Amino acid sequence: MTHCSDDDLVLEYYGESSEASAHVAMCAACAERARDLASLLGTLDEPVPARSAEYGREVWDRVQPHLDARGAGLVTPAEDRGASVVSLDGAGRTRPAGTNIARFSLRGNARWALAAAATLALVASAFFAGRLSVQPEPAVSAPTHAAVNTADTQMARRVLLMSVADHLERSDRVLTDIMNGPAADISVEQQWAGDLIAANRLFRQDALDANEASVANVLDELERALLDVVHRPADAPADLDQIRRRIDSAALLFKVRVLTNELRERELGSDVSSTSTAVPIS
Amino acid sequence: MEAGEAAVILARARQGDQDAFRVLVELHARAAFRLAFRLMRDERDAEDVVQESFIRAHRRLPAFEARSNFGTWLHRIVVNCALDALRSRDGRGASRREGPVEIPQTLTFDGPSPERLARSGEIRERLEASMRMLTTQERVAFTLRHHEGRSIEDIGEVLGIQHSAAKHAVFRAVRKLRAALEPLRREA
Repeated sequence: MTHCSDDDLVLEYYGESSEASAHVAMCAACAERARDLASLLGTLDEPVPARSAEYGREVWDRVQPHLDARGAGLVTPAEDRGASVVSLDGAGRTRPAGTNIARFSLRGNARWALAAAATLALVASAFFAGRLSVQPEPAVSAPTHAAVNTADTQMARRVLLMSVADHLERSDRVLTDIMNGPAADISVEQQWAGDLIAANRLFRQDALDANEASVANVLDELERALLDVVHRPADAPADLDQIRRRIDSAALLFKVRVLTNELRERELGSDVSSTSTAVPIS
Repeated sequence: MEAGEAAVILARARQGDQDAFRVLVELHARAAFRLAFRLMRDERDAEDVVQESFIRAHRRLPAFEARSNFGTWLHRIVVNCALDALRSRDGRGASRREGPVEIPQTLTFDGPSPERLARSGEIRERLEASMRMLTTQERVAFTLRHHEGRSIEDIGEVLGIQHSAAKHAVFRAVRKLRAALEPLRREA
């Protein structure tokens, strides 16, 4: 190679020309010019005005009023919070202002979360199924393609386990309400349980597909308990006691909490590539 | 943030969960500002670009490929917003001029050492002036290459131009900056 042009040295500086780099390594004159260019470009590294840790929140405050409410069938949490006092207090009943606001606002958020969770379950399930199902692609891929597929599978497993952990936390809240709430009216809890069942089925199937047997077992027990809750007659305190005894004797809440913790720990852990490290708890 | 957690947040945001989108804004706002400032070289303009970028990102989220990286995707949106803003600003005749570099003659240098020179506001002013002499394409190409570490190929893709055109935009920018700053370095 003849001596480097100025443009060659620019490419060399940015690591975009191995040819120029090779020449600079052997040619004292070009090396001198390369150092000179590096010195000049080094003066261009000027600071950017600092932004505080709160900056993200400030940007959100400016951006949020301009966002469209999107998402078919979904409402924003803010809208949901506004509606929850009325909509979740039974059929058509309203409460006087200030009455049980905290409890019903909380329920409003939980209901929003359940709706989002059901949607997320579909998304996660579809994503996961797409990654773990038999791929019809011919086996002509290079090792790098195999590595990408492995990474995809690991990512899919991680997404599934995180989604299941979220789902278990929501189920925990419903079961806790069932176990500790007044026996008179559990219609709200029945509605939540009904919302959770569809997601639960998807997650159970995905867990089976992913050889996460212990996860699938707990989800199976959870599903039966949720079905019990949903199908309990409206005015049957005796039935509710029976459901509570079943949940209690199966230590279902305990299992749900142990599994939630375990999944959260796996989420935090670095080894996401192992198949199943779950300790059987069922 | 773990990749899986980010994927879940992204999935929620794509479903219209504004709380999830808020997390994305809070995570990426500073990087977006950094890039916007380097492109716009003006804090207020950069803030406008950041705001517009997140609004566009929110609008386009349903079309976002779930397997892509949100940061990379947003990066491109910021560049496009900045390009629009620069063209608009240029259209108003605010800063850029085509043609050879014209460095203001009022700048002087009397610093005794390169260290002082490097820190001085004067070189920053000279740099500022010379950056404003770059065409929009040159400025964006140079910023993406020099400050953001993007490859020439990426730059071509972002700007929607051929690889060779992106390369020559960087070359021209370096030549202009060099012509503007070299005298100061010699004096030093």
